[in-house]
Amino acid sequence: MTRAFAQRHRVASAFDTTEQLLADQAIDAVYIDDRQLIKEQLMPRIQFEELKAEFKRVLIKKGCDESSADLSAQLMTQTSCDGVYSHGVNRFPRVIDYIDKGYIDLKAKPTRVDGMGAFERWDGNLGLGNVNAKLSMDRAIELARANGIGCVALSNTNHWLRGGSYGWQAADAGCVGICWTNTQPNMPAWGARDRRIGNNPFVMAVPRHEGHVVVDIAMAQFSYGQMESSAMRGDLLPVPGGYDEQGQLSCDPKEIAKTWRVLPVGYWKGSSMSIVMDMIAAVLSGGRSTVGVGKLGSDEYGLSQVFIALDATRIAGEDYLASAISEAIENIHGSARVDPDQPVLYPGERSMGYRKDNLANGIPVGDELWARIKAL
Amino acid sequence: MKKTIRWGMIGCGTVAEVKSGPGFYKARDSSFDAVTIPILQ
Repeated sequence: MTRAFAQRHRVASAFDTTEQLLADQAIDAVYIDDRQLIKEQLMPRIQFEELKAEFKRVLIKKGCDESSADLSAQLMTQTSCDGVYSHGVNRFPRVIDYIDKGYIDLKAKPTRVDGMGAFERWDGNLGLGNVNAKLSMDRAIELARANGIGCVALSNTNHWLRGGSYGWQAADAGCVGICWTNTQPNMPAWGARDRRIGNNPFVMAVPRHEGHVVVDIAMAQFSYGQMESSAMRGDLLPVPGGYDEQGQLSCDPKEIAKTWRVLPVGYWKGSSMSIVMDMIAAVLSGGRSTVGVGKLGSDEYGLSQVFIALDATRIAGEDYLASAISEAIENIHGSARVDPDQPVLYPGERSMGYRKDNLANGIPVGDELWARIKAL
Repeated sequence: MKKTIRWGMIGCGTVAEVKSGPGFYKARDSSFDAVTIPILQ
């Protein structure tokens, strides 16, 4: 992308990194063409342990026990460290707001409702969403150790923040992980104008020594967080993400925000996937479907989720698992690139770059947000 | 003494393509010499 841009504008030097550009002695002045980047560059970088300690302090102050606070704080900090700020540090004030409103019960623990072989049904009792989800995947992994496969369906839980966390968790345990959640009604079904289905994030993970392969996607072409970020930068979406007020497909996130008519992934296919995933989560968990979540009001709580683990290391054997995944990744990396500067990545590959940078330099947190968290 | 300002730009997205970028080589006493994109490697 950088070199193609340079060619179009007859720019002599295209650098791979900001540091290389800044080191070029021939340059007199540098323009940063990204308001969000400027903000991020000016943001304080908070070290992992400091950020985690702050999350933990606030949760304990609100009434959370030490071990749940530690686990929840660890998950939120790791999410931010992996560059998913929208579902980590940026969302923390909303988590606290939901605690204050009584949607999240910090004293609640998930309880086993029923079991049938490798399948178990649990009630989240409206506890912290990320803790409930982590414990559910822990249990699915335990069941997979005994049975090859394990499945936990969880009702009555809260927003799990970054769904990918539970995919990484399963993969860390050498398992293939599959999980999804329903949401409040936030997307129109294909052919509809009004929002009656959820964007229902879906996660699949495959373990790999050099870095797991993890896909973490909503059933909408762009998550609301991604569209907000693009709107803040003044950027257009690379492909249409929804409809404008005239009913036309649009790449402008600001126009789409006016209608809330976001586009399902694969048009009717994403719509169908969302509908069926919601049904499966509700039926297996005995909890609410998206329509039930919508009846609770405009805030999102009381969700249904499914966690599946397969003991891939035991099923495939370590050698075959490693060689099959390596072969597939080498094949993908060897693709003929559309843009010579843009590598073809496997799912989850970009997270590793953020993690490395944020562990070394700290996690960017806006001044205002940091002050707000410190004051909680 | 007139001096041409040699510019480098961080960021080359859709806005830079049509809005910010061209100004640097169209403006008098200005040249657009280097670019990079702020993506973590």
